Amino acid sequence: MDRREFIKKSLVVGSASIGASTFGSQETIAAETKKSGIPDLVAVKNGEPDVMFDKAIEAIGGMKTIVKPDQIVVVKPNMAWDRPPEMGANTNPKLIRQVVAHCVEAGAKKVYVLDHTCNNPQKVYQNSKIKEAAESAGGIVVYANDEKNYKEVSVPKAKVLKKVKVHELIESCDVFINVPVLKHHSGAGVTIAMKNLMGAMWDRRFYHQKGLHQCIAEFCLWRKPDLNIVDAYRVTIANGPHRARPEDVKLRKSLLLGKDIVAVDTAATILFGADPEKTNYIKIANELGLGEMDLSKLNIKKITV
Amino acid sequence: MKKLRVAIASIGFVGFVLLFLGNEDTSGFLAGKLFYSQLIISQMSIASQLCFAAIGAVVVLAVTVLFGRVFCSWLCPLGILHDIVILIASPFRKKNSAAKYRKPSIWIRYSILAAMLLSILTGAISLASMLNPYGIFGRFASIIFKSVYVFARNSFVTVLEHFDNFSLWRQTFPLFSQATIAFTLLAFLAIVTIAVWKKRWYCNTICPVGTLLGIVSKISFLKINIDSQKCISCGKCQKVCRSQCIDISNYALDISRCVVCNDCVEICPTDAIKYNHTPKHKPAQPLLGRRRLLVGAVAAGGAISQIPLLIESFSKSNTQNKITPIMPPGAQDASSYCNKCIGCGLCVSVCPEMAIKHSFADYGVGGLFVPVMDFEKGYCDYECNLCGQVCPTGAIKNLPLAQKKITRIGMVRLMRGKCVAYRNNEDCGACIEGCPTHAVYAEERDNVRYPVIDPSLCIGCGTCENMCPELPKAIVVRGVKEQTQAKEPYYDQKSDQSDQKKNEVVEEFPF
Repeated sequence: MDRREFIKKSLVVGSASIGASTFGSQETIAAETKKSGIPDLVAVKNGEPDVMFDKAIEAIGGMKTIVKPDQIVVVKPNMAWDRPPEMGANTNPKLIRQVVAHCVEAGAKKVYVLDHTCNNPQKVYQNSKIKEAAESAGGIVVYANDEKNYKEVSVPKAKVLKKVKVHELIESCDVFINVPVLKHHSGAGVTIAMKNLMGAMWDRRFYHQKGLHQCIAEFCLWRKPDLNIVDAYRVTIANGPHRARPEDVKLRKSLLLGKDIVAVDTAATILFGADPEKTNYIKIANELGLGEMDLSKLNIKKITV
Repeated sequence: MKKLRVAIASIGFVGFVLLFLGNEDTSGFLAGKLFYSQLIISQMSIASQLCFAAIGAVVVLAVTVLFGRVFCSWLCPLGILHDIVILIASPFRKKNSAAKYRKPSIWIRYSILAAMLLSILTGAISLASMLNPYGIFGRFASIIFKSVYVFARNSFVTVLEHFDNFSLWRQTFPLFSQATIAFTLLAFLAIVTIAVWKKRWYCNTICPVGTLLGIVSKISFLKINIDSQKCISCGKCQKVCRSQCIDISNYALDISRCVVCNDCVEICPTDAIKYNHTPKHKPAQPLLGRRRLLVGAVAAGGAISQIPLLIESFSKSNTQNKITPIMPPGAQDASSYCNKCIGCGLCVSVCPEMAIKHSFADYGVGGLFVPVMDFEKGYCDYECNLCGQVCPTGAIKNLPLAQKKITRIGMVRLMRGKCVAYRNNEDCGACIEGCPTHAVYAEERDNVRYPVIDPSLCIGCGTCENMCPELPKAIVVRGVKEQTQAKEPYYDQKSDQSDQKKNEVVEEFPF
């Protein structure tokens, strides 16, 4: 996007948002931005996880725009904790199954599903029901709790996270799809797409020690996921990331999808009820130019199932 | 008979190996089945508490009264290990070596047995843990076999990965102190060497269970008998005898050392040897005067059994301010834990988080090989009580999961001076995130979450210590002398606020 185009676009979006605030209606934005084609961010509500994903991916032109035939895909859910699906600590298995199925349908050579878990990997994979779900759709579920499988890469322009050990499959894959779950996090406030990438690398202690938010943001300087899908079907609003009581897990039946990881995290933070300005890693990522925090600049498509 | 023995022994041995190497389900399942058969464990159970395993002791004794020492060659994992070594070594063994009759070492046998019994009665269990066959086998299995298994498994995983197969995960090696592995390796080498040279010498000289059952087997209903009328003194039985207890020149067989393997019955060309009931069996040779032996052995045994206590009382004076080791959940207090633990290391082997370690003398000489918790590689999983489920002696009590979750095995300490959050005024939250009970929680100031501790909630699981990025750790767990109950875990009540209460689908996206 060159400068002229940028000014033009922001003028359009800016005027549209003024219009929206004047008329108190959001449809105006949608109507206005439809012209510019593929939306930057898709927000779906009121459906089952798989149905919402179908709608969202359709809105950006289907999985074939992301995955080309014979490509290797890695799907990275949040499956870190030994908790059942209804506790909202891990990504919804139905969503993962659907994502994998779409990748397979788009002609992917292989679809790997993996996470560097916090609890015992075997228990997590089994009890989160994600292994079963991903395999039923043709995915290959990979255990990723051994340092041997991690490869050191250097992160360009990073201040703190100059080098990081990344899982070899994520390092080498053609398409990297990030499928986090939206939930409260006692350590980082709220965890969504960028925070989920802490399960793509090996040494989490380094992050905690050297600056959690800075490292979370800087990881994206190495590689941004090609697609981010936020599971907000069940949202843990307190006692996250893993020790929520049933009453802490709320049915929100939503899903966000977008290529811009900063935009996705910003929208999800607002949906969660927190302030993106106070969520440091989002702010840092925005400053690093990794994405757009100002949602008014974006073409957002909202769908109700 | 021999085929039946080999079949049962093989199944039993494979079962024991699986017990130590298998996953949660197999180990949990096998633990209940196999421990009935283990005499020493049953003795322990009688001494400490009356539980089902005690039935095992009665059954084993009853079986011995009826059939002789079948336990030693049919069920004892260490005995079967001997037999495996003997089998492997037999083609390489020089002719006639280890084929002659050997006199019993009466004094050693009975002194050790007496020492063992006394040490069980007086509660100084370390002698029992060093000498009981299941405990020894357990350490071989949990240290040597397990390490070999993990190495082989992980190599296999690497091979599978080359073929794009990711169905298996790598396992972590068991934790042990150097002294324990040195001791265990030496013991393993010693037992293998003895088995190669002198076959079942260990079982008939050192092993107190063997000695005890040997005494009982003297009155057993069925025995191996040699018919001097039919015997042609060919000496084949003497050669094949793994206990070296056949003295063919006298047509005699020392029944107290016979493990009823039935090899001699099979090999005898004239059917002179039979496993049957004959009322007029006379002892192979006169033993020492019974009374003299009893008094002497008890005295010697008493002396031996007191050695550990003596050493301990000396060493105690030097180590007053030693750090209390952290015991697995259900161990209650150090003395009852050490009294019941036989150091088999099954808990070390099955712990899915590798948080239990083989110690050597962390509990002093009175508690050799008693496992301790170590949070360097792992932590005590909140949702797991496997160590208590499998513990054969009840040293780690089988606490119901709900109770285990509030059992305090240690107490947390936070050193703010070392903590990243306090030093850099920056989010770290590793300990906060991991804590299952909210004993470590976040206090937010200026958008930074600082860890704060509520000791009443701490169960000492070590998650915080394990996750802390600092070295040395800024948050650690210290052992407690006695395991007490912590408060029920605390939960943030934020979700009870009125506007968050309902399960509501988003009406309109707020962006």
